[in-house]
Amino acid sequence: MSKGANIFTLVFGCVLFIAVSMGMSLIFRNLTVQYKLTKLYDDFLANVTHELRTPLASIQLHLETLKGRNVPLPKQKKFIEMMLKDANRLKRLIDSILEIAGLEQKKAVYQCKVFNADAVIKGLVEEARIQFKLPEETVHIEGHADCEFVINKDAFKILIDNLIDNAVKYTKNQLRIRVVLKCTRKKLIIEFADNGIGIAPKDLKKIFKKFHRISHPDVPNVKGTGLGLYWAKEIVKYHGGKIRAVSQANGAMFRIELPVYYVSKKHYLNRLLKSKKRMKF
Amino acid sequence: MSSDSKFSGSKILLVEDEETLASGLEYNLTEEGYAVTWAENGKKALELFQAQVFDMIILDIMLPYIGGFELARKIREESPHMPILMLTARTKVKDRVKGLEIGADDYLTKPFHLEELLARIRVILKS
Repeated sequence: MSKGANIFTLVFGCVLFIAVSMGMSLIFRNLTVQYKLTKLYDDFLANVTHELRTPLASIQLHLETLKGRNVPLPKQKKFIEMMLKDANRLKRLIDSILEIAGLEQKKAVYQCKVFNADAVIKGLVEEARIQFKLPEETVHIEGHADCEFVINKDAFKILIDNLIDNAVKYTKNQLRIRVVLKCTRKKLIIEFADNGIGIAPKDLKKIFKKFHRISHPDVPNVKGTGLGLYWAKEIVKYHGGKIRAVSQANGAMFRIELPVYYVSKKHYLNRLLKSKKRMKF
Repeated sequence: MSSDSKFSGSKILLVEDEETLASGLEYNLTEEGYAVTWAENGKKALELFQAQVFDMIILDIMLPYIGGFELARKIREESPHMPILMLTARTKVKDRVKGLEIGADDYLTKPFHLEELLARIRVILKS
C-alpha cells in the first residue's frame, strides 16, 4: 500500500472514530434526558394518583358510614360537609390539570381587564392569607404599586394562591411571607419572599419546569403534583410578564415583572383586551 | 357493622394528616368501641407513642415532619411487637414491600372499604 493510501486510511479512521463517538455521546445524552423525563412523569402520575385517592377515600368512607350506621342528624350534616370539601378538592385538581393543558396548547383565553395593581395584588394576597388560615402577622406587604395592569383576576388568584401554597408547604418553622410591590415607568414588580427551606442555585430554573419538585430532609413528604410553579410561570407568561426565583440567604424569593398598562406594547394589549371569549374553565 | 366486644376498649393511635378522613375514621373506630387518639403528623404521633400505651397504630405514609416509613422504623426500634397497619394512597409495589419490610403487619391502600379495614384491625388485634 502506498504512503498516500495509508494517510487516507488513517484520516478516514480518525474521522469515523470521532463520528461514532459523537453519535454515541448524543444517543447517551438523549437517553439520559428521556430517562429523566420518564421519571418526572412517573412521579407526577404517582403524585396525582395520591392526590386523587386521598379525597376519594374520605368520600367513600363517609358514604359507607352513612349507609351502614345510624348516624345522628347533626353528624350526618357534618359528614356531608366533609364530602363536599373533598369533592371540591378533586374538582380543583382536575380543573388545574385541564387549565394547564389549555395554557400549554394556547387554547386558554382569559378575559382580561385593566385593574389598579396595588388594590388587586394586596386584595388577592389577603384573600389567600384567609383561605390558608394564616395569622395576620404572617404576611407583610410593603410598598405601593400605583399603576394599572391588564390581567385576568381569576388567573392571578391562582398565581398568588400557588405562591402562598408553596411557601406554606416548604417552610418548617413559623412562616413569614414578605410581599414588596413597586411600579417603574414600564414595569410592575412584585417580590414574594418566604422564610422556608429556600431554593438551591442549581434549582432556580428547574423549579418552574413541569412536574419538578424539590426534596429536602427538613420538609419530607410534601404533597402536590409538581405543577404549581409551572402553572404560575405560564400565567405570568400569558400576561406578557416574567417570573424568576432569586437565591437568597434565608427562604425563597420570587420576582415577577409585568408590563404596566399605558406603556405595554399595543399588540399585547389588543390580544388581552379584545379577546371576547370567556375562560373555558 | 360487626364489632367484636373482645377488643372493645383497645387503644388505637390513628396517624393521619388528612382531616376529613381522620375524622371519619375516628368516628367509626369509636363506634366500634375502640379508644382512638388522633395525631395529624409524624412528630406528634411519636410524642404520643412515647407518652402513652397503645394496642395498635394505624399509620399513613405521606406525613408532615416525620414520614410514615421513618415513624414505623422508630416505633419498631422502641417497641418491636407493636401492631402497625399502614393505610396509604401510595399503591406502588415497592412502597408496599418497603412498608412490610420495615415491619408493618398489614398494608391497606386508599380508597378502602370500611368493613375490610375493620376486619383487618380485628385480625391484627387477635394476633
